[in-house]
Formats: sequence, structure tokens, C-alpha cells
Amino acid sequence: MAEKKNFGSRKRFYNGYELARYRKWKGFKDSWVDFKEWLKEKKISGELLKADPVRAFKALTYYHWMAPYLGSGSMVDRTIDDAHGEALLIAHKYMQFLLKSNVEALIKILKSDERFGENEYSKKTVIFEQDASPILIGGFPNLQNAVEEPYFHILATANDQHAGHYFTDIIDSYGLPSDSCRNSSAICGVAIDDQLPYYGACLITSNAPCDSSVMNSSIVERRLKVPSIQGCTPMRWKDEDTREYAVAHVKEVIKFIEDCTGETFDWDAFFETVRQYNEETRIQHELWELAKSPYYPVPSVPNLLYRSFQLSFSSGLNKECAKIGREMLEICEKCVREKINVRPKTRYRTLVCGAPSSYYMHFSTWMYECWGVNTVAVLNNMSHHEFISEDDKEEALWGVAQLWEQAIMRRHLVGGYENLLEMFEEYERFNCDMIVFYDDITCKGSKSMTGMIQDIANERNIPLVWISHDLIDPRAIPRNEMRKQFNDFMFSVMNEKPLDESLLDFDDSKGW
Amino acid sequence: MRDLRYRVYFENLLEEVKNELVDKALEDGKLALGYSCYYIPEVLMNLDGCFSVRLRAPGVADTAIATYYMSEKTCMYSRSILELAIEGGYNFFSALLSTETCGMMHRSHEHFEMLDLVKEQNEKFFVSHVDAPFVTKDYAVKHYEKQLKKHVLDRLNEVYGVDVSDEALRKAIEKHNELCRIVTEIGNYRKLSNPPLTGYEFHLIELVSECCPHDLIMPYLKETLEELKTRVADKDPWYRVRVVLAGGENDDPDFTKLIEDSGAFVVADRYCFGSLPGREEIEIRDGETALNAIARHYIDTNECPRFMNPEKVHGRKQYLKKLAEDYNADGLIVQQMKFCEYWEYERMYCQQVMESDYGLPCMGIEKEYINTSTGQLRTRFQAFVEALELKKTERGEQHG
Amino acid sequence: MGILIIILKIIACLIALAAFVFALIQAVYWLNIDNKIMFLLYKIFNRITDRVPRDRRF
Repeated sequence: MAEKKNFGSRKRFYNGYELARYRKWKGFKDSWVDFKEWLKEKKISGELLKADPVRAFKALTYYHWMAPYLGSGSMVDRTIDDAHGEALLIAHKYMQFLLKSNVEALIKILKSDERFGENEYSKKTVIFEQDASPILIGGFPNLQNAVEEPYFHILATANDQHAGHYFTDIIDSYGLPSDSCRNSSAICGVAIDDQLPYYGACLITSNAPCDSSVMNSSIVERRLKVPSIQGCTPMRWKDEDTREYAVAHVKEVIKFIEDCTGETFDWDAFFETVRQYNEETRIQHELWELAKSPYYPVPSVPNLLYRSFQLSFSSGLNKECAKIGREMLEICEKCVREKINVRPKTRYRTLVCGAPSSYYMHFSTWMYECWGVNTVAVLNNMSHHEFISEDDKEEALWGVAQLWEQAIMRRHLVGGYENLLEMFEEYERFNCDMIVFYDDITCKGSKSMTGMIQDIANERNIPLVWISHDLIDPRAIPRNEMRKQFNDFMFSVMNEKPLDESLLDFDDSKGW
Repeated sequence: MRDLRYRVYFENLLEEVKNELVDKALEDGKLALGYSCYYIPEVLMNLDGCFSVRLRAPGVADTAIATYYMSEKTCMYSRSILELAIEGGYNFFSALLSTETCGMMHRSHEHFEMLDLVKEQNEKFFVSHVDAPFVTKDYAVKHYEKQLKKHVLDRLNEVYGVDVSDEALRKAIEKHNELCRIVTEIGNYRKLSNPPLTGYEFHLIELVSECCPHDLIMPYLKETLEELKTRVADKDPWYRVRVVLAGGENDDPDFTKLIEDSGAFVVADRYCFGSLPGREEIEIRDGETALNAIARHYIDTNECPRFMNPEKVHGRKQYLKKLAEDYNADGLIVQQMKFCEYWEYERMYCQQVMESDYGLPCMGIEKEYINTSTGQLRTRFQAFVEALELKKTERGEQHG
Repeated sequence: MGILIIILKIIACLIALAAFVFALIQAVYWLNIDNKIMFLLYKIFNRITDRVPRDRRF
């Protein structure tokens, strides 16, 4: 079979790769902005090597998940490819913030890793399993948090589509079927292959977001060798009667951290973190208000990543998160107020539901560039968005419990079917024209609702497309297959022609 | 061995969800309460005027409609339940008591609400959802008790006027314990080296005790127990090796038969729908209410892999080892329904550690709710039997 | 006067140097050289990590 040759706007990419031969010309103004921001991004990325070059080198030559971070520059380029004008500036600012946070997190991991030598940081590190917000660390100012899982495969796969399946292959070879959630199983592969850093005073496991996540904890615990506690939260989170139980878990986690580290929970410091979290949440609410407007400028991928970061990694701990949020809010307000349209290709506004695939994080970018489908709302972003009490201890602990209960993916997939069906309310709220449902083939929580969702969409005449993917393994459903699913939908259901035919069908399966 | 008097009768009862005993109980005005999971204590559904029916879907060969609703990548048990529900197979239920424990099973139950199943036949029909804990701490047990009260007892009382007082619960416990004693006594015959009972027969017995009204099945179980006391086993044991069967959902006695046809005697049934746990007597300690005791009992005895605390994680493996010792098993078979998240991890875990850490050879099997490729399964079981025989020979042991 | 010329020459050199560096950076930017280098390094490190002996066990 003849290899597909890139043409048109794909011509600047090497065949089979997302690596560009040269950068995109975006006009004088935008190219200048892009160049300036690129310089900042290089500086940020350089911090990782500057902080501890020896450990960085050791990590690069030991951990299979480390080298993909060399592709972070390319990842940024991919995610902001569809942005112009104010949208470009916003996208860069968001991605710089994420890049900086990632670099800081990786530096923390490297410095704490006892595999590369003893250090003072390891025993001051509290590891949180993914989806469990680290907000409690705000009450332990002398400690640092590490978030397990995302850095070892999700984010690594966002940089390099082939990073994650290295680990899922390992766990599969130990007998776990490949229909299990790839996200949860990949961390087991990391653990089994002795690629977890040797660090931590203790580990807080989590039962979020799903059954698979419940089960992987015991496998990670076998290899991590630090004391661990189950930071579980109720499934039926809307049931008022689960409150006492949920708060009891949070209190137990606090006591556990105190016992493991010898630190005492500082309520003043914690409330300060809560105030930051509330500020982040306030900004998010305002951004959502603006997202209803056709002049909302935020490109989808930075939007999705920023919010995921804010909930799962920051939760008030990273002061820059709110700072960036405020800056972005100002730009967004200006665009909406002055009716500046920086998403001119928009033909359809879409709500995106389900877990996006890590190996095709920039699928929304492609949707916009190829078909003019602009992602204005992301259902996962509507995870916990309540304010937490800033002065009442019991109420604050209840707020933390709710933050865990309503974590990303969890809020909509557990606690009752009506939570997932909120997607139709969000569709109305954000004035959308269609819904894109990322159909992770291993995600049982959403898969077991496909019929109901399709029925309701049909009843209400809402165009709904299912984009199947395998979360972190591009071999089962490659990126081009995902594009094909969307293409078929746009041709046959929406009766549309693409904006850019060169983006319909191309090969990017080999590299980043 | 002479055939058990009620073997065919039990098989016939299990061919229909609404079997003749269920019909009889309904005629007597009793409320049929459906459930799937061990997290819903069976005893609570057998209060006066009620009887429990553990959800099965016998005879469902095709799950086309359920697959539309739940997709083909979900557990077939859940889909089969939904399919039968859509066909009207559970229209006699007064309530469905669900737990948000296993995601797919729970979604299957939620479809009863989403699609208004059963409601047309009975407008009082309700589905209730219990939140079950993931750990076994005191506050978790307290939470579980509260949930059972709110979502099981209070609902039954509000909707149907069922007496859910402490006295009523104590009475239900007494009756439940009696059933447990009989089934346990029957099951204990499997410990013998040449037992007058096969694993398949016990599987039938356990299933009918879960799917038929207790009051009505009890006489048959008592008679069966009496029969076993005098049943003469064959001169030589029929089996080659003895195995514990563990795992997730398994309400198919033919699966047990397939294992036994391959030469392995299923001596202990440590799976969902099995008796271990399930047929331990509930003890009410001093100072406890009946509900306290029930909550504590069902948390303590629960072997679901959903429990995350280390005591339970390691405890499950220790329990399997203990069963193997108690029932003189040579090996362990862990089966899981395809797509079952909990048990696919647990099965893998057991396969990795049971032999190395506990000295118990272990085989893992992935199966469907309706098993069509029995040839392949049989080959796997036969290979395991041979491997166990070889190990026994190496240890200088004889069969039986 | 002579010093002024020297200073001007130095400034001119610095400007030329700055222009050269700027052009170089622009070349790296436009030709995506940074990502190409990173890609090569990524390939190299991947090969190394594929071969590292590890304590792989359950």
C-alpha cells in the first residue's frame, strides 16, 4: 500500500510524524507573539535541566516515562496550532503555566528520588493518587505533595503517544486483560517495572474515579513501600447521609499524614489554601459565563488542561494558577465586550464529554482546523466547582471530601445516572450545536450509558458523535482512526465539507 | 452414587426466575425483593412478608437490546439482567435493592429506573441504592448501617409497610441462621475425602437457597440434608484433584459441572453467589442491635475485592488459603466474568501470589455469563488437573 | 574623537552580534530545530531506557 503523502497544511510535517519541518506562518503579529512566547517556553523547559542536571540525566537514562517530556515543546505547538490573536496569547499563557507546573513537579520528583541518592525532600513528600486533590497539603506548609500516575503515563503520553502502552504491555503480560481502564493499569506497569521513584513519607490512595482505580492501589502499594492509607469517598455523593462518613475519611487522612511525617495540621495555612482554591473556582465560574458567548476566545485544549491541572494538582496550592486565571479572564472579558472574534473558523460549537485520549490530546485542535468545530465546553471541567468554607473547620473538611467525591471523571460517572445526563443541561447552557463524546473503550462507567445518551440526543435532535479511543494506547485505535470517525459523522450526519481537506486523512502514527 | 432426590427439581427451579416457589410466595401476598450483590444483606430481604430473589438471567441467549443500552464492552451478567428485565422477566418484583459497588451491575440496575421497567406492572416498585464502604473501619461500618437503614429498611417500611423493627430483624436473623446451618452442614460434606456430594450438586443447592423463598425451599433443603446422611458414595472417589473455586459472579452450575467433568472436585465455592461467604450465621453480640450485628457481619465476612484496606487485601488471599486447608484442596481456580474490573485485577493478583506466597497452585479463567466455548475451558481445566496431579505425585500423595 | 569611533565600532559589533544571535534564534524557531534536536535526544534516551536492567516483578 502506497504511503500517504502529506499535502496542503500537512506538508510542513514529516510523513508519519507530528514533528514539523518548519513552523506555521500566522501573520506578522501572531508569529511575533508566538516567537516571544516560544522563547519563554524554552526558558521554562530549561529549568528542569538547570535545577539538577545530574539527577535529570540519571532520570532520563533510567525512567522510560522521562524522555517523552523532551517533547513538551512539540506538544505545546500541537495544542495551540488553531489559535490566533488573543486566543494565541491565552493559549500560550495557559500552556506556559502548565509547562512551569509540570517542570516544578518533575523537579520535585527528581530531587526527592532516593534511587539517585539520599535527600532531604523524600520524607517531606506526601504522594496522592490521581484524582485525589492535594488540597490538604495546604495545612502542612513544611511538606510537599506529589501526584502519582499523571506524570508517569498520562502526561508522558500527551507528549509522546507511544509512552503509555509501554507500561500497559507490562501489566498485560502479568495477566490483566486489556479491557481494563488503561489509565489505572498503566501505573501498575510502572510499579511492576520498578519505574516508580523511591520517594515519599506516605501515600494517599484513592477510589476515584472508577472501579479500576480502586484495584490498582494494592498493586502500587506492593512496590512503593511507603505507608499508605485509603482516602476513599462515598460513591453516592449526592446522598446527604454520606457526609459523616466522607468527613471521617478526610480526618483520618490528616491524622495519618501527621503520624507519618511528625507534622501538625496548620488550620491557618490550610484556610489560606482554601481561599486560593475559592479564588480559582470563582475565576472558573466567570470564565464559564463568558464561554456562553460566541466571542469566547479560549482554545479548547489549553482550557481542558488548565482546569484539570487546577482541580487535580493545584487546588489552591499553586498561587500562580489564580494569577493566570485572572489574566486570562481579563483577555476573555475584553474579547466578549468588544466582540473580537478570534475563532473565525467556528461553524459549530461543541460540548466535549468523556475522557479525552492522552495520545491525541489535541484532537479538539484538529476538529477546529479541519471542520470548524470549536470546543467551548468540556464536561470534565464541570467537576467540583463549589466553594469551600474559609473559616469553619467541619464545613471545610466537608468541602475537601466533596472535592474528592466530585473529582474529574468521578463527578459525572458515579453517584447516579443523572450526573452523566447533566451533559444535556451543559449543552444548553453553553449554547452548543453538537456533542462530541470521547468514548474510551475501557471506560465502563460511560459505556454502560451509551444507549440512554443516544436516545436522549435523538429525542432532542442533538447531533452526537462518539469518538472511540483506547485512552493511552494508540495501537488499538490510532489517531487517524479517530479522525475518520469524526469525518464520517461530519460528512454523513452534518452534511458538511471540511475547511481543510489536507487534514482529513494523514499518517501521524509513528512519532509524537 | 444414587442421584439426589431433588436434583432435577432444583435444576428446574433454576431454569426460571419466576419459578413455582416464587409463584407460590407471590400468591401468598409476599413481596419479591431483587438484589445482585452481597453488600445487600440477604437477611434484610427476608423480613416477614418479603422474600429475596438474587438476580439471575437464565435462558437469556441474546442481549441485543441490553447491548444497545450498555454497549458490548460491559459485563455480560449486567447486560443479561437488563435484557431479561426489558423482556419483563422481573415484573413480579416489588423492589430492586441495589448498591453502587460494581459500576456495570449498578448501571444495569439504574436502567430499571431510566427505562421505567416493572413500574407499569407495579407503580410502587422502586429501586434503592446503598452506598457501601471501601474500608472496614468502625466509622465505615456505622456508615454502612445507616445506609442499610435508610435505603433498604426505611424504604420497605414507607412504601410497603414492612415491619423493620429490631424485633422483626431478630426474627429474620433467626430464620436466616437456620437456613445457613442447613446449607453449611450440607456443604461440610465436601470436606470428606470421599464425599456423598459433588460440587455441582452443592452449587444447585446454594443457588436455590438464594433464588427461592426461604420458607418454601427449606423443607427441600432439610430433606436433602437427611438424604446426604445416608447417601452412599462410590467406592472410590470420582475426582482426581480437589479445588477451591473463587472469583466473581457465577450463577451457572454448568460451569462447576464443566470443572468437575475435567476431574477436579469443586470443594469450596468462594465466589459471588457462593456460600463462602454467605452462609455464616449472624451473631448478635451483647449491646448490639440486630442492624448493628447485620452491618458488622456483612462487612467482616465480605470478600469482595472492592475493599481497599490492607487487612482485606491480604485477608482475601489468607482466606483462600484457609479454605484450601479446611477443604483439603490441591489448588485454586479463580474465575472472572469478562470485563469485570474488580475480579480481573484480583484474579491476576491471585495468579501472581497464591503459589509463591501461599503455596497454593492457582489457575485464572476469564469467562462469559453464557459460556459457549466450553471446549477451550475444558482443555484448560484438564491441563490444570494434570498439573495438580503431578505436584501431588511429586509430594508422594495419593488421590482422594 | 578616536575613542568615540572605537565606541561606535564596539556598538556596531555588538549590534551585529545581536543581529546574528537573533537570526540564529529565529532560524532555530522557524526551522523547528529545537524540537528536532529534542526528538533525536528522545530517541537516544528511549533506546537507553529500553535496555536498562530493572527489578521487574509483581
